[in-house]
Amino acid sequence: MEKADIQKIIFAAIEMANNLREEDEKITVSVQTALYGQNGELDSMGLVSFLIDVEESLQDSNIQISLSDERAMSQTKSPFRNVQTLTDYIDLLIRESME
Amino acid sequence: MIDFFLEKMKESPSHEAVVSSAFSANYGELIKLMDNFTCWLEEKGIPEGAVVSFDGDYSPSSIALFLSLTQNKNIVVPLSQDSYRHFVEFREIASTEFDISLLGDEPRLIATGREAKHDLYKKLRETKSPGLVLFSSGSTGKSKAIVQDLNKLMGKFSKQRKPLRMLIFLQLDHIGGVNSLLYSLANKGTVIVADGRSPEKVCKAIDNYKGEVLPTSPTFLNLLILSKAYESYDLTSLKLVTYGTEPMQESTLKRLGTLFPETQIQQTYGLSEVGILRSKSKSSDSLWMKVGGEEFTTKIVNGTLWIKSDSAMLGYLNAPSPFDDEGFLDTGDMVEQEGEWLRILGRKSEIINVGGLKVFPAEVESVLLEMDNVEDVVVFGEDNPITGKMVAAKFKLNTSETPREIKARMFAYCKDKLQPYKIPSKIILTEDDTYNERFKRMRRLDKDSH
Repeated sequence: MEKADIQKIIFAAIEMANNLREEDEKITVSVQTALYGQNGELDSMGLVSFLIDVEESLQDSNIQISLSDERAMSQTKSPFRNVQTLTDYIDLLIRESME
Repeated sequence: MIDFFLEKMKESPSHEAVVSSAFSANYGELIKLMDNFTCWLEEKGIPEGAVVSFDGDYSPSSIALFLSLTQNKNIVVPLSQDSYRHFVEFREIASTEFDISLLGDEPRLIATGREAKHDLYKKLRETKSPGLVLFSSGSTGKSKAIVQDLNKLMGKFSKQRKPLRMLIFLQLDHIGGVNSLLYSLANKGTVIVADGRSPEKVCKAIDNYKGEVLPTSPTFLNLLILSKAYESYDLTSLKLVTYGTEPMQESTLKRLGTLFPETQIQQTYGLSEVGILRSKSKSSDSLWMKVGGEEFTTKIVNGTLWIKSDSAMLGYLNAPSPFDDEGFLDTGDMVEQEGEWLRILGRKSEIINVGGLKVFPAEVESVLLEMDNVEDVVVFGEDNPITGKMVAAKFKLNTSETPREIKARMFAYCKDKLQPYKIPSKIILTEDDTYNERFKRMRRLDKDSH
C-alpha cells in the first residue's frame, strides 16, 4: 500500500470522526492536522475510536495491523501526533508485517 | 400447598384453564389428566422424593404432569425446548433419577439408575416438600442449578387475586413461566399459549383468545414495535403488559405508551434464586419502580441490590451458597435509588469501564434503537490498550448498509444524546438474532462469537 493510500484512509477516518462534531468544531482534513497530544484535535476517547476506524479500513484492504497497542504507546515520540507521523508509522508497520 | 391449588381448580371445572390453536382444556379436564398421571406414576413405581425431569412445552399434559409430580412430592426438573441442547447436561447436573418425555403420543419413562443424594434434596425429603430445579441462563459460563422448595413458592399464591387471561411467554423451566402458571391456577385464570414467540404469533393469540396480560421482555417489546404486528390484530383486550429479566430501554417504553395508551405497562423484578417480587412502576412510562411485598426485604450495598426472601431458593446444586450471613442474596444488579423508588441500571458484570468511566449497555442501546433501520442492537465492552475497555455495538439492521454508513449515521445521531465515551467505537453487523430463546439480549456471548 502506498503512503498516499494510507493518507486517504486517515483522511476518511477524520471525516468519520467529524460526524461527532458540530460544524464549527470539525477537524481539518490535511497532512499537517495535529491528532493527539500537543494541540491535538482528539482526546483519548476520540483517539480510540479514530484508530479503530483506521484499523478497520486497513482490514478492508486485507492489512491486519494493530495501532493502539503497547508499542505505539511506548514510543518516545508518539506516532499519533499528526497525520504525517501516523502515515509513516502505518507504513512502517505494513512493511514490517511483510518481512 | 398443592391441595390449595386443587381445591381452587375443583371449584370451577368448566372454566377454561389453558388454550391454544392446538389444544384447550378446562379445569375439570386438567384434573382428570392429572389423575391419569398420578396413576401412571404409581404404576411405574416413582417414589416420593425422587428427582424427575420432564420435557415438553406448555400443554394440558405438561401442566398436569407438573402438578402430579408436585402432589407426589417429587423434585421436578422441567425442561423446555428452549434448552434442548442442554438436556443431557441439565439431567446430569440435577442428577435426575427418572426422565419423562412428553414429546410422543404416550409419555415415556426412563429410569436413569442414578441416585440423587445432594444435601439440598435431603432437606426437601426430610420436610416432605416437593422441589423444583431451574437452571440459570449461564451467561457467565456454566448454568447454575437452582433448588426451590415448591411449597414455599406456591405459598405466595394463597392470597386471592384477580382472575386473568394470561399469555404464557416463558416455559416451565423458567421462574417467570412457573410463576405465571401458579398465578393462573390459584386465581381461576386462563393460560393462553401462542404458536410461537414471534410478535405475529403472540399478537394473533392475544386477538384469538382475548388475552389480558402479556408478561414479556424488553427485547420482545422492541421487536413487537418494529414488526408492526399489532396493526393487523385486535389487541384491545390487553390490560397489562409486564416486562422483566433485563433493563428496559427508555425509547422502547415511550413508544409502547403511545401505541397502547389504554394498557398498563409494568416492570417486574425477579430472579430464579428468590422468585418474582411484587413490583409497582411509578407510571407506565417510568423506569422507576418499587419492589418488595410482604415476604421480601431489600438492601442496597455499594449500588447493588440485595434481596432476602422467605421463598428464596434453598441453594445451588453446583455452586457455593450466594447468601450473606443475614440471608440476603446479591442480585448483581446495579440500581439507582430515590427514596423508595428504584431504577435498574444493569448487571454489575456488564458494566463497561472505559478509562475509569462507567457505561451501562442498556442506556446506549436505548439511544441506538431510536435510529432508523435498526432492528436490534447489543452493546458490550471490548479490550482496548488505551482505555482498558471500549464500547462496541453489534447491530442487526432491517435493510443492508455498510459498516461505515451505519457508523457515520450513528456518530451523527449520538453526538448530542450520549457523552463521547459512551458512543461505540466499534461496530459489528450481524444477520443472526441478537437475543436468546427467552428474548433476552445476549451481551456476553457476543464477545466470543466474532
